[in-house]
Amino acid sequence: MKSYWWKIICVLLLLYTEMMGFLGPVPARAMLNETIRNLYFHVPMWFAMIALFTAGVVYSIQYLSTPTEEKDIKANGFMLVGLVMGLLGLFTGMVWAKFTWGNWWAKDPKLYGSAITLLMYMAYFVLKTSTTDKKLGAKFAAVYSIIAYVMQLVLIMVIPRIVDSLHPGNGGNPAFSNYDLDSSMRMVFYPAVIGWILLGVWFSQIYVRTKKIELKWKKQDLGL
Amino acid sequence: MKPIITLLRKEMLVELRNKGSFYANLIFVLASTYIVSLLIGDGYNLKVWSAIFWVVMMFTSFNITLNNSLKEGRGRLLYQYTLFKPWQYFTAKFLWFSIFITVLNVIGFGIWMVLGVAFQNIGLFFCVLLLNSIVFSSLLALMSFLSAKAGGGFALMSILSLPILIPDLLLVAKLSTFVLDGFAYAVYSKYFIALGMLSVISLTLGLVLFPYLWRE
Repeated sequence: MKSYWWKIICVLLLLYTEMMGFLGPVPARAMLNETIRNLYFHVPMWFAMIALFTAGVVYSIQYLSTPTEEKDIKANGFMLVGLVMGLLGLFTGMVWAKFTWGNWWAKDPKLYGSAITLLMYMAYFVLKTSTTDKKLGAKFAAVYSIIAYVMQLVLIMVIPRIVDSLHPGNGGNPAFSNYDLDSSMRMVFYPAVIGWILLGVWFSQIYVRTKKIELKWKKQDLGL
Repeated sequence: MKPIITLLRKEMLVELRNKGSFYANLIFVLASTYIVSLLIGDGYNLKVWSAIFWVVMMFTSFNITLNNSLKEGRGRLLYQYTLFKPWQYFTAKFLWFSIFITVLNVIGFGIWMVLGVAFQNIGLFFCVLLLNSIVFSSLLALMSFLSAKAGGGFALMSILSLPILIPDLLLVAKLSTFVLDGFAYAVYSKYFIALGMLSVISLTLGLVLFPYLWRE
């Protein structure tokens, strides 16, 4: 109970999110209609992605100051699950765009920014496997992940605010707080954010544990 | 200050001794600009022009930085470990790349002027070129060092650098259309500030992170 209480919270929160997300009452808005339910799935994905990338970059910085294999594996796990969350955010966003803007993809800085962010983190994994020297690859990847994190912040947070954008919350468009006047959606949205972040942390914990076991076996085979 | 000047002198001597690489970069700019101008013909607008110009300049900068970093063999790097501090080495590389990139950017821009494209506000555009070369050279100095050491070559260099340079390219392409079209400064001042901030960020990133790449 001491170590897995947050997993129970995660499951409960996500069950609540799914139930309220598909069945709960939502405010009726022009254009958006029922697609407003996607708020509980699309937006938390990006929150989870940024949270996981932040955790990953913290471990990368720690790795640069004192390199241990465990920190590298942890950084790697958070980045990987963050990338998956980002891809899911992109797909849910594409579905949403199809039914509100009329197209799967729009020429929009926010969309391009997020797509390029995902490219950066894919490059991170390419860089990691580009050298046969594992330690050197891990160090290079740690350096690259810090640069990628900063550039990702510029792309997602800064550029859409100064360039015109279709996306809610940018370029003079109202954010979602304006659509949700009676705050009923907030009661589902915030639990959803916490739930999806916890799920991401859970996934990366599983990844880190399996990698650690593999490492242990490898060391046993080598007789270390 | 003296080690930086020594390193800059070394870069210049290496470049002068191996004239091929300088002329190769020059011809790359000349040829690609000319081919592109032939292919798009007349009737394009500044938006199209700036996209083409910046893509050509981006690949020129990739060539410059990667060739320079590949030339630093293992022996020479080991020798430099014993003589210089990482920030001195990085500053020298950064200065050298920014000079090189700015010169080639100006040459590339000159070719377009010779080809008869009408521009306005050229003085301010040189400020954009300068700020852009700060971002390019600090980030590409890191990335070329990294990909040369990882042994990935041009493919790895492109994969790593393209997404990182996109915030800068977006700003610069937008800014150069505004500047060269002769808009008032108030219209694009926010892009200028963003570009200045980005150049500060990338230079700090380079100075902070390079020491970790420096030693194995």
